[in-house]
Amino acid sequence: MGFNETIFEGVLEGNMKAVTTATTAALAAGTAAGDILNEAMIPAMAEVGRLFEINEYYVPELLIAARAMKAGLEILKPQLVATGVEPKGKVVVGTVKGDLHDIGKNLVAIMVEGAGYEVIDLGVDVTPENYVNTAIAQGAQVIGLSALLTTTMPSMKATVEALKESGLHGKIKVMIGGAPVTQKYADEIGADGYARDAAGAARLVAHLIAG
Amino acid sequence: MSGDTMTTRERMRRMFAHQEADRVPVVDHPWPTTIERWEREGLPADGDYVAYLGMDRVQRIMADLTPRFPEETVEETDEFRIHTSQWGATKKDWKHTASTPQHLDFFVKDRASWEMVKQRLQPDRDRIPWATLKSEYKKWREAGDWITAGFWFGFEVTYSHMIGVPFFLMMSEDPEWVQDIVTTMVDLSIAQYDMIWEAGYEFDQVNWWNDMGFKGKPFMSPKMYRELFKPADRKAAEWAHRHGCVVHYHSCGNVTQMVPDLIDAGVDMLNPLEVKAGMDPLALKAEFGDRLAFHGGLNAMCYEPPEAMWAEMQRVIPVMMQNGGYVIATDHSIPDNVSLEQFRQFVRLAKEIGSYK
Repeated sequence: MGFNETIFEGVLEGNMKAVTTATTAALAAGTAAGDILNEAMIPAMAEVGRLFEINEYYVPELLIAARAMKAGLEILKPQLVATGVEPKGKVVVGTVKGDLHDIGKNLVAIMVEGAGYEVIDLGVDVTPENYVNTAIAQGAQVIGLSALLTTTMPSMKATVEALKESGLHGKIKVMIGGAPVTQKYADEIGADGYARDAAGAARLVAHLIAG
Repeated sequence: MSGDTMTTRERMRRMFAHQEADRVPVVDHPWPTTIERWEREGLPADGDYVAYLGMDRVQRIMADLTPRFPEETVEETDEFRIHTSQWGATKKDWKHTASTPQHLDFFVKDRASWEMVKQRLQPDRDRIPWATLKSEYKKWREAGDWITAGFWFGFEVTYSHMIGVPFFLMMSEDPEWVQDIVTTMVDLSIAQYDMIWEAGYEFDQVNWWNDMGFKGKPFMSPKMYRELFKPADRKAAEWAHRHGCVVHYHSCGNVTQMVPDLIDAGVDMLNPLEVKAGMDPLALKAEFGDRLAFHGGLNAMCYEPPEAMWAEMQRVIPVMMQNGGYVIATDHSIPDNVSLEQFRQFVRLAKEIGSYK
């Protein structure tokens, strides 16, 4: 098995040691960091997302896979920087104002990062202004809003409105998700997309940035 | 209660026995901010919305099942309070927001810190609210209230209060440690309620909270549930049944995949059937209604506009109440966009639709 296959399988199995060992060995053998990232790690996390969607994987499997990838990514980072490999884009994520639930948001951050994007995680209880100002300051293309409570969903609408007021809605896209959230609600408030789960969110980011 | 011919206890017993009663019980819970709103709208200052609205009366016995770390305030403002918890965690409680607390740090980070907590999870008569039992128990029984005993063990309490995200990693990589935690905690629950029962304070129901799901699916696979958590659920359920009690199980999120295992473990009633996470109360009733009773399942998203909730009640309650086995509630707590008057109408309509007469 080649290094990339070992890394791919290692991420799927959440085998951090296998991933770090193979990543180190691949770099030593002259494999470009960008190739390891794009040909092994990102496809592995995409496969993790697929397995999550078909109920082969659940949160524990997803988290140990992400941890294995992150460990490999840390080894790649100096070379990625040195060779000018940029993330595919920037995404600001957070749980909306008044809402302190973060499992769903964290899973979205993991899967979006695993798909090759830079994620700026604002945590929980994020105000509309904080989302918008951070996205502008960081040059993010997408803002991801999470809510678990019906009572905090209006904050999603307020964030879309704040983005419209900034004049950047359309240039910066908004995606939403969370237990009470639906595509219908996304349409109602003028969000650009809705994702049912973390794997879907990673695909949606690609779609929004491409679109 | 006007029109009622049974006490809550009689009514609940029949629901658990999958038999009809005078009507379906109504047991629901507002968020603290909803209570604040209702008090502004005329709810008496004692906050007893159950008595005021004529809902069914459920009394809870709750032993202290925590490691009993001292609670200390770290920072307090008009908006929030950051404090250490009885679990040794550091939490941020919002004062005027309808949400759960935010956990900032956890005490248990490794085996050594868990062993310190474990030493604190020993049975102790001081964990029991004897004074409340002494002053209230007789009144509860005379009033025909339903009395539930709150156990606390399993996935949610360990994840949410004691360890946080690393618990997910432990579930994959250190199942023996997970089983040690879960067993320690279920044994503590059993030991404490043995003391209460033996002192003559018998109860009707054992309940525990174990949020195992989120949108669309459970956090863990049914296989992992079977290996790590089901043995403790079974142990608690067997204890309850040996004492003539029924088992009420709360899990947020979509736990449809877990339902056969929950029934097999001994769960008698499942709550809250979170529709917005993907639970389908009518499908659950059709498939499991002869073996499992249900509490909840009215989509809280339907409260606005009110007419949507009235329609949802007409759609859901008549099916769920067939042959008993149902307690009326929304699928998780009453949000603060619901006025006191709107919820009064909810209770009135719930009793009307839920009548077996």
